[in-house]
Order: sequence, then structure tokens, then C-alpha cells
Amino acid sequence: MELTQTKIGAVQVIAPAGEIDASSAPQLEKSLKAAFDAGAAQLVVDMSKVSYTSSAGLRAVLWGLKQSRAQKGDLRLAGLQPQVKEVFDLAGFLPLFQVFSNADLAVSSF
Amino acid sequence: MKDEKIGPFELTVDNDLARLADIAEFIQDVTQRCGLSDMDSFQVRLAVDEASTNVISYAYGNQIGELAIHCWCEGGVFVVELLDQGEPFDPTTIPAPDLEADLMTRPIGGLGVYLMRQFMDEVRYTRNDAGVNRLIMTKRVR
Repeated sequence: MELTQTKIGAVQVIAPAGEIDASSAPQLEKSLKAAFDAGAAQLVVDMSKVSYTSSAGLRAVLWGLKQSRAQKGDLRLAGLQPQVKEVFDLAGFLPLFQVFSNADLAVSSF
Repeated sequence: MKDEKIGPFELTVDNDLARLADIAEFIQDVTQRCGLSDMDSFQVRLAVDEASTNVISYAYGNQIGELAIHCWCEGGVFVVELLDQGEPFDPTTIPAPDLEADLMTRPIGGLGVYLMRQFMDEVRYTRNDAGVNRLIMTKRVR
């Protein structure tokens, strides 16, 4: 799974691309951890290039959200594709996250 | 989807998470042959992913082992069976996670099994005397 990381001001944007399953989710976790280790507390996970996620992806972003809150920050989501959004919805995750239609809006929200 | 049986199709993989991509490709191929809608195909793929992840991650401990996946469609129903010879694990006994819990008490575990049971109509587990675990999942698709 490809993954890019960009810093926009104080906001760390992490953009995975492709499919998140139990095999690729550790890459996302590693990226989130690196951001926290570098002192980031405001994160955006840009999901616009993610066509599929299993519960492994959900766990990764939930972990990231809890970490960000522990650092007095937040983790926000952007660009959820419809089928991916449905998985988040079914898992009861939508009430937990601020979700934006694209990464620019998510970054500006901080 | 036609009513006569299409399949069975079979894939056997070793217990390596890197094989999840092969499983996905296999399921996508079969759901296409069976004429499932995009949404139904996505849901079947996810359910099989979750079930396969559990077997690959836990069934054999540190040992190498195999997971066999059989699937077919007949009479408007898509059927998939996962077979392994590892430790018994009955996902039907895993309670649903508390989806109303606030963030800090929201559990991490149980989500995979929950999604599996939401996306498939029926999930059944059996284990025979020879130590073969069999998870059967069905979904009405027509």
C-alpha cells in the first residue's frame, strides 16, 4: 500500500492509497506513530485514494484518534469513498470522527 | 445470477497475511462469475477478509498451517466455506462490540467478527472429530 505524508502548518496529513487490510494496516499505524513521535497532535487521514478497508483499517484510525486526543489534538478524516464510509458507519465510527469531503477542508478545520 | 450451481471454486493459502490479497482476488473473480452486484461483492470480500484474517492470525499459533476457501453460488445464494486445522475458534460466540461507547471506552476488539456477521446472512461454525474447523457463510444475492 502506498502512503504519503505531508505537513501543512501544524497539521500532519497522511494519505494511504489502495486497500487497507490486516497486512497493510501496520504501515498506516507506523505512519501515525511516527507523526505522534515527531510531536504532531493535529492529524488528517486523507482516505480519498482508499477503495477498501477491513476492521484493521478501522482499528488503526481509532488508535490514532485516541492518541491524538491524549495529545490534546484531534484526528480528522477526509474523502471517504461511499463503500468505505459504509463500513465506518456500520461499525459505529462516524459519530467519533469529524469527516470532510476532502483533505483541504479537513486541514482548514483545525 | 443464474440459479444453477456455479462452482465450487477453491483456493488454499498458507497462514500469511500477505496472502489476503490473493484471497481478495479469488473472491472478486468468483463473485464476478456469479454475477453479484458491486456492493454484494464488496461485502462478501470483506466478510471473507475478516474470517481469513482471524484464521491466519490465530489458528496455528507460531506454526505454519493452511487455510482452504471453497465458494460457489446456487439458487440465488452465495456460499463460502473456510476450512483449517488449527485451534478452534467460533466467531459466532464473540459478542457484538458496544457501538455506543464513548471514544475512550470504545473497544478495539470484536469489530471484524461483527462486520462479518452484518454483511453475511448466515455464519455457522463447526469442528469435526478430525480437528477440521469449518466456517460457513452465506449471502442471498438474488
